[in-house]
Amino acid sequence: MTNLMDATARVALEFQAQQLRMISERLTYVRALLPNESADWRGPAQQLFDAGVQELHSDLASACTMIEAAEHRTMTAANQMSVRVG
Amino acid sequence: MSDELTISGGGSCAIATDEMLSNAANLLRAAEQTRDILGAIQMVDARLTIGQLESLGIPTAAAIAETDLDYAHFALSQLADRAEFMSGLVRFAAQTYGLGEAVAESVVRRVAADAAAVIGFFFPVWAVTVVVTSPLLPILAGIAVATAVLGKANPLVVDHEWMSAQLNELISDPAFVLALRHGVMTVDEFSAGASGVPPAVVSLLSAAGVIGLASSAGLIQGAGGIAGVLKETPVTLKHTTEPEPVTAAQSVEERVKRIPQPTDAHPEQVRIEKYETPGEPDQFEVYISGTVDFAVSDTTESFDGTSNLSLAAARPSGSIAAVAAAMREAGITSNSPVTFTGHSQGAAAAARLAESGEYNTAGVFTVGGNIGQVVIPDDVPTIIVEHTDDLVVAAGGLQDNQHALVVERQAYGGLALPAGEAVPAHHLTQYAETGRLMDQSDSVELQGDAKRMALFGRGATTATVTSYHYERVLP
Repeated sequence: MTNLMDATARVALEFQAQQLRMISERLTYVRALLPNESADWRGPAQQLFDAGVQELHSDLASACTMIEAAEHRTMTAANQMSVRVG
Repeated sequence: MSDELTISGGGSCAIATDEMLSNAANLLRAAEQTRDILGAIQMVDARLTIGQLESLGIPTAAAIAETDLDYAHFALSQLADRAEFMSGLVRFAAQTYGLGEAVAESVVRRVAADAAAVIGFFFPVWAVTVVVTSPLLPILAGIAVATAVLGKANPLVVDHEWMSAQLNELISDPAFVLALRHGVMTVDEFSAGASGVPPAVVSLLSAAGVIGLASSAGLIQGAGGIAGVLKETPVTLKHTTEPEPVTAAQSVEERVKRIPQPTDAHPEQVRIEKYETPGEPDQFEVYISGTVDFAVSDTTESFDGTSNLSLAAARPSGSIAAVAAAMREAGITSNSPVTFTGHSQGAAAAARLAESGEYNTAGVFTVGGNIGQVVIPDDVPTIIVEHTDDLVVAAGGLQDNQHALVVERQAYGGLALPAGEAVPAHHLTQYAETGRLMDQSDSVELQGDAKRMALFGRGATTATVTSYHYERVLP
């Protein structure tokens, strides 16, 4: 019974890891949509725009790191379950 | 070569570079995508709760992963909100800048017009000097320069040596071109003032649209008629090509490249594509060439200097007569949906044909046309492409077609002008390059309008193209 539960949990974890990998790929597409520093703005407007862009990239980088960490931890847990299942 | 496009009009007062509009569109897309991803994260989160993990005896690493997902969710929520807000800010900036530009332009235009009327009234003897040195310069100099470089009839009127690099640089300078655009708008007020009309009356006539660029061009043509030049004639069909199968233009660049560039071997100035769909009226694409010969007399070319001035004066021109005759030959009636595409004089002809209201105009697409003061009806989808270093565009005055999507680019920004080429920014190849950049643009405004035009003729079961060559009938 325990083995069956462990196997179910392992499958669930592997599926979660796979979903997280897909989310990471989708975040790559979002990164491509974000602007970089702009030559169209001048003075304070340029500073504001560039600061905003930096914040966007920073938010995205944090999210990417967290998703990757979650995926890694999920895979670690799945591997541990595999060992338990044998 | 500058790759930056500036986009304005389209029913909005916003003026923005292509990059700004692309950024605004992409930021909004990024916000939408991020919100989709947030939904996916929530689904992942909901599948395995910490309680379930504990009951299944799953290692703590998985529980920490749940916390990571919560942080990621928070960061992405911020990202989505921030991206949407920034998209709105970029659009707001474009809108505000556009409003400021519009107000400033209106004030400059009014003040310049009133000043011209007053100067003309009090100092009429300056008329000759002003006429020679001010706004008519682009029309007259343009004809002279083009005659020298491109003309067939009078190739030696001005030699290539004279066409120095310095002059070319001056007339290709965006600041000079813009100044001329403003200047063109005041020559009529000056002329009216010089002929003795009180400045206050000139101001009223100008505001009412009674006097304008067309009246000035008409004046020149009238004077030319006395001197035996600039006289209009009937036209006659010389040659048509055999109808050939064709597919509709799929991109802006392709559309620009389809505009005829007549040569001795292929002198056709008008290209008409016919799209037939059972149960629907035939649809037509009419492509119109630019000026072929800049001569103002003794030429059989219907796309000549005389036609240029007739178009500016809103009078019947040889080129309009040729296009109208070709359209009749192709079976176009007043009910047939038709899209006009033209370069230079072809652009002016396209705008005038749409203005006439005699056709069921489904769209107008012009490049390098002097059509600022030609009133294209508001209900006609219109894309106007202008180079800020193209002198010919300036001859049409300021662009007043507010509903049209106006795309601007400095063709030779930061680059040396090619030697021996007059007004190189006016060349069709340069406008094809702008078309390519428009195709690559992510701007929602641009893609929306260009896509609508590309849909024209889609789904036709038969599509053919025929080209037409018309000549003047000399007296």
